[in-house]
Amino acid sequence: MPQIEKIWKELKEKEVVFVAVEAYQDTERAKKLIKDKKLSFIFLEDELVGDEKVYQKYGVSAFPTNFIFGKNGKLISYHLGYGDGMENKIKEEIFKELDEQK
Amino acid sequence: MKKYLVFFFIFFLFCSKNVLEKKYDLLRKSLENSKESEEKAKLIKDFLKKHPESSYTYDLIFELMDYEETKEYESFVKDLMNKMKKEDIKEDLKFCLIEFYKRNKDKNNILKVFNSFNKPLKYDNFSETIKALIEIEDFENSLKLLDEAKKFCEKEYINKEYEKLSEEKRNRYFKRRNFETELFKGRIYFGLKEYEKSLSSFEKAKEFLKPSFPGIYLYDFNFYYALLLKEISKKEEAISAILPDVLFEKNEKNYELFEKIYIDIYGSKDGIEDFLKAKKKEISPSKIDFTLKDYDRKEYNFFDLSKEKVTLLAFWFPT
Repeated sequence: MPQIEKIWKELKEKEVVFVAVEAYQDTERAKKLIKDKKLSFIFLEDELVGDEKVYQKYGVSAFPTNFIFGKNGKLISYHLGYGDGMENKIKEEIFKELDEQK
Repeated sequence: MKKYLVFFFIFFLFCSKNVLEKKYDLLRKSLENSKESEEKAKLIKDFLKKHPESSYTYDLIFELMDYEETKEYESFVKDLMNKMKKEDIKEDLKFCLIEFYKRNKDKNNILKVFNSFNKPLKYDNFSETIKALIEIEDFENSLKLLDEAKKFCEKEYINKEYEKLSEEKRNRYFKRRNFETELFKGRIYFGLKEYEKSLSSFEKAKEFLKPSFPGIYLYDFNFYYALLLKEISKKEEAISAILPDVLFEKNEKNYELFEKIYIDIYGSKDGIEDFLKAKKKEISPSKIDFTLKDYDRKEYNFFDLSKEKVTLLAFWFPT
């Protein structure tokens, strides 16, 4: 999450939104981490909607998983874990999408 | 007086932590500036000699492998491990050694490391060892270990430690492990050219875990599945299997395999980029809507939030 926060800080003035969903409803620890690491984008807590949680609807089976969507709501990319250079990749993809839509 | 001492002690801890962080940042900068592998290796080793047991140790030892794929690496890691007191970091470094021996195609030492893991074993001890053995094509040992791993998983499911986890987490681990062991089996039989058995293992794996909504499974499943489909001449199916990974989880390995299958079907690379663009339009899934609350119990609707915006949606949990 701190890596994502870094990207958010660079991009938050643009037509961009970052939403995090905490999967296991580990409320206290999540709140503490958000406060300690000064995370400033939108943090929601997952819950059962019907017979599935939101993360299950998205077919997420390992964490962290990040999806990037274009302005038209279509998926651009999918990132599992925090591999090497992921931060830059995400930034690049978002900038590319912002440029294309101009 | 005691209070002051405690205060100073905490202050000292606070400072020493920051000092290490700063030293690490400095190391990163020096690594960026140096070009020679030898120089980089020396920088990392010097840091590790001064700070053998920090949270950076594992990553640095792993990184060091890229600059020094020699016996020197092995003796350095072993020396470091001998001086260590923290068992958990020591255990982690054994995974680095497995990777190192894998790169050197040294199955005997891989098995030696496996036998040196602290007991009781953990699932990762099995999975990382099996993965390395498969990659160096030691199918005999990987199959043997896989059998042990399966027995281990069955036992662990009724184990007390495991029981402490929430039902939800336990189920996910259980499914993920079954998925992974079937994937291993599929890869082993593929290596042994027993394609029917391989195919049935891959298909069984799919029953345990559903893919993420773009169609990507964990652990590079689609890659290995496509590799098999290509081998048994199901080329169109091979392309469909690897496409989600090529389009949404771009990496060279996926792209290379895709390119090979594409050439297999169309005779050359011509039109490959247009093909991908068209496919992206065709199969790119749309956002799924939801409404959830934040930590002040305020409700947010995902579609309202993200309307006409480039959106990053992150699923996580605090570790």
